[in-house]
Amino acid sequence: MKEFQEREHQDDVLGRAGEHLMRRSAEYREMPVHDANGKFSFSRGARRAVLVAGFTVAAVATTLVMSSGSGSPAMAWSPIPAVATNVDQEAARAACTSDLPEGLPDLSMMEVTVMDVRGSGALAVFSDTTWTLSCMLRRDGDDFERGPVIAEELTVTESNGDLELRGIASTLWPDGTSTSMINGVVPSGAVSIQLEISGEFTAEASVNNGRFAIWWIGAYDETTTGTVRAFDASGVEVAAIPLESAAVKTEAGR
Amino acid sequence: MENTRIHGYSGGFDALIDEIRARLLPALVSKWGIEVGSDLCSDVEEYAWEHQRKVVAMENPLGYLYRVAQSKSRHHVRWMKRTTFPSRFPDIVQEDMQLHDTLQMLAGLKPDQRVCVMLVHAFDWTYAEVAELLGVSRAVVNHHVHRGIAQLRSKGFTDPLESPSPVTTPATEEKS
Repeated sequence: MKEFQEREHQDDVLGRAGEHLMRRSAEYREMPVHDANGKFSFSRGARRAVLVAGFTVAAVATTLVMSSGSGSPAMAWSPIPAVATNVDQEAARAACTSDLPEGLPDLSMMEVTVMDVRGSGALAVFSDTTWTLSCMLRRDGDDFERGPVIAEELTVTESNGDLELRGIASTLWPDGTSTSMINGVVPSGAVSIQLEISGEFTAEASVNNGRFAIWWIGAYDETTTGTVRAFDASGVEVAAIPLESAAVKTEAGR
Repeated sequence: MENTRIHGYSGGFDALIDEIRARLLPALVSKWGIEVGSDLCSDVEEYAWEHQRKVVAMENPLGYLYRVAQSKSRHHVRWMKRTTFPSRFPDIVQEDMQLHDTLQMLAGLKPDQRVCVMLVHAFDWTYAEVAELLGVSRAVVNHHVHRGIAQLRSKGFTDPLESPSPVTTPATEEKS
């Protein structure tokens, strides 16, 4: 009898797992599949790093754009982030530290504030009291390959509890794939952040330590429209901000 | 002579696509995870479209398309290095811890074990149906299911509050 009950319970739990997988698959198939089918390029040619960074008035002072590494296999993406493990964070730290120019803070002394891991890429945001570094990454086996890094030297470190966009950037990889990233401050009372790029997708950002971060496949420029929305634990929207509010734009080369 | 029977697809190609989405997708997602499994399903649909006359006429089109998916999976797994069955499910940690733990445990199974366990116990397939899809014998499916369930139980699968119970699953047991 007990065995029968256990088997029923087991099938019930597995049935729910199956329902979850199929529901998520349906969502994934309905979303635009951002799977750039670029050609493979293993050469270490110069990467064209085109970057547009936007910051709210609360942040900004210095923007540096760096790139290193080679072209990589095409990237995959998901609207739902994965959890960044300690292994991911250490791999990101190792990759983001490589070939950083002089003048930037020592990443080994900085905390990983938030890390957005999804598909075959990631965005790691490191910060201390004066700097925030956003580092774009691609999977390279168990490790990461570094893309551009944006460094912000904060003039105002305190947040007033509002939803804020701290940085938006876009980069073009050698295989022609554009990726973009955004990070910002989670408002008071919010537990989740969604990014909607008009007419393209809605995705959930990674949230940690009062910051959020998300990367996606596609270019961001001044014609891109969209909204960042914050939700509380009940799923009620508590704040929203258009991407266009990222007031200051800075262009920089590699 | 070429087999031109249309096996169960009186609706032709559209019915085959429905079957792919209803029957093949669960197998692909169980083996390769949500993202790669879904992308493989799209790849398979595209392949079926390009070769529809050949595929619709097959005796076991889903089994054939499963092998097509296996072949195409190399592109995603070896070359693009994509994560397959994910071991992290952040979006359900808060809402359903048991489901989260179950998915974590399923991620620890061998892919073939996971497919067999999921198709039989989550999607209510018979062992014979699973065997036909995977192109293996029922004994192999039976082996995968019982090894998979045993592994799940060894991790406290049946009830997190109880100690793991011994595995008593007779080899002749089968869902019908």
